[in-house]
Amino acid sequence: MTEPIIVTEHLTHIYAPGPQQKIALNDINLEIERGDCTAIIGVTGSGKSTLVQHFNGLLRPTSGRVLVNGIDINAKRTDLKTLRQQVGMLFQFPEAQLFEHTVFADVAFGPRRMKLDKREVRRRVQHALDTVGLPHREFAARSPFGLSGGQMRRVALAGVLAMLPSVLVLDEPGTGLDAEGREEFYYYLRHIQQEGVTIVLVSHDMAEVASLANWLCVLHQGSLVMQGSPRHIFAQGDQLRKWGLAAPPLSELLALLRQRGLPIPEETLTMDEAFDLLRQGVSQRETR
Amino acid sequence: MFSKISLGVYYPGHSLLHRLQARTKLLIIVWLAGVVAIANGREWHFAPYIAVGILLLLGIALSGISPRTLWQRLWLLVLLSLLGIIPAIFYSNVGTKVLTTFGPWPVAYGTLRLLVLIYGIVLAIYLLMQFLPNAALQALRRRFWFRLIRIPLALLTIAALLFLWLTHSAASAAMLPIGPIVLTYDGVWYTLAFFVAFLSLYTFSLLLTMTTPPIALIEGMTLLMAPLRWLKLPVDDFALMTLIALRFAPTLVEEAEQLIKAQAARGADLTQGSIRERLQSLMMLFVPFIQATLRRASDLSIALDARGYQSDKRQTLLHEQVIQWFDIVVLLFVMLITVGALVM
Repeated sequence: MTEPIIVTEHLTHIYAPGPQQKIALNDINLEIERGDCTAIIGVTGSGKSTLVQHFNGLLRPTSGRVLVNGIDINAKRTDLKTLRQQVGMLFQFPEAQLFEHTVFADVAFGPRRMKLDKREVRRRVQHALDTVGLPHREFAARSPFGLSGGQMRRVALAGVLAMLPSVLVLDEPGTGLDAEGREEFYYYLRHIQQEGVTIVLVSHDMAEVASLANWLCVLHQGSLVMQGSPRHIFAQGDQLRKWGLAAPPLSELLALLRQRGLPIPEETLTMDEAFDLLRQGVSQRETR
Repeated sequence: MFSKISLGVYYPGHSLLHRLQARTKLLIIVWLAGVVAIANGREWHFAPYIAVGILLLLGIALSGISPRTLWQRLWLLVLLSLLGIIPAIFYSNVGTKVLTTFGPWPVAYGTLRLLVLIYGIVLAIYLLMQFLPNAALQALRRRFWFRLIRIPLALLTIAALLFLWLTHSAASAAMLPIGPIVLTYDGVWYTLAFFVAFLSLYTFSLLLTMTTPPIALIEGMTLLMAPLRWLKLPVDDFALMTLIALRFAPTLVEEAEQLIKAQAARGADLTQGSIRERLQSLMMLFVPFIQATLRRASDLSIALDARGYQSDKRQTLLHEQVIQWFDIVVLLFVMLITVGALVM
């Protein structure tokens, strides 16, 4: 197995050290595998945004280490610009950060700053726009401010993708989008993951990330309290509720059925699996 | 980075000063400003200043704020005004009654030149020292305070060399008269009185802002300005504007912080690159920020409309209440003491 792309060792972050200090992260040890889609989950104030801002050096650990591709982000020699190009980051409501006259110019900002030649910039911008489902022939010359919310968000995503990051960190990418816009956004994210980009999602909503993530980390009051595959985590409904989180509706439903005495394995995750199980149960009862 | 800026200096508490109405505290400060202004006119009459000093000490004692916290916010100003007071005393030659004179001291050009030369050499050595291949000395170069004084030091060295060059033709035995410096009674009094008045009023207003929530402060001001309504001045609009500004300052700071991070993640950097790149980085902060602020303002105006806000009607207040008996007691006490001291 290849080495993980992001590793944190005893990562602690304290805001405003001194008398009024606030421990935002407390001794976090976690590994993010190359090519995975990891979701970091917790309620507001659990430290999830603080955690991911360490991944591209926007914040520095108070103590402990963060390694990205084996490079310590806190080392003096670390080139933050290269690091930020490697670890692309999209904040909440990224459409608010658009500023250029045209979609093309906005997406091209990052690559231009990387001092690439013109042809390469154009190639990357066009590819990035196509990847997020905004065909460049149609959208490149338009003003980003005339697009819909979901499209603006995808322009912002393209702006990060054009820098060809190996990790993409998204902070609450679904907030403020309608169900359709969100589905669309995740559809393109899945494409990006298939191209080999490691994805880190930050969310407070398990149902939102359930379809995408294959590894979940649960944060509670600055500590990493649980991590594992979605199947494993969603089975612990009671524990999750204690942390102010809720398992996806399907897992909740299955838990209720289990309480009523139906023999449903803990590991059931998708709608199809549940459907098959229930149908089996029914047909068994009918044959009996 | 913005977390270091303290927008509000309010220290929550339940001391006597906290419980006073903002109106009372504002009135006291205006009153004291008047008292000090009048006291300034009567030379060598210390009673009002002693009274103000006692009130100041009382205020600090009753505010429940530790003198150390207060001093942390004061020391820089005290230091700066002390630095300012020295030249001010020497140059305020008002009045004729002379207190004392210094000098004139005749200084030979030779001595002066020698002093400047030594000074220039010491500075130059100090500046050049950092370029020696010595780790400890090079570490000094990276220190913040050193970088801060480096440019003034270099300028001083150049100035010293220029002085030597310009005066090298003068005979070294020739005399450069320094002084005489004359101190007058009036000059000393005015400078000292102004210094004391300035510092005490500043401390009082510091106490005011530290013991009053910003919103209560604005409400107190509105109440005091209420008579201006008769002149058709938009007192309530002013209050609303100030309150909204106070309320939204932290939100906007937070938003700006977030934006800076988001743009940094895309490679924007205000501290590096060509001028054109830096300007572009600045643009990519300002355009979205102004856009977001305008959108927020328009949302807020719609929300105000939707709740039936009318600026031409009287508003109810959140913090300010009826003046209580001890507001009046404190106000009377301050007035009695200061008037007594003025008359004495």
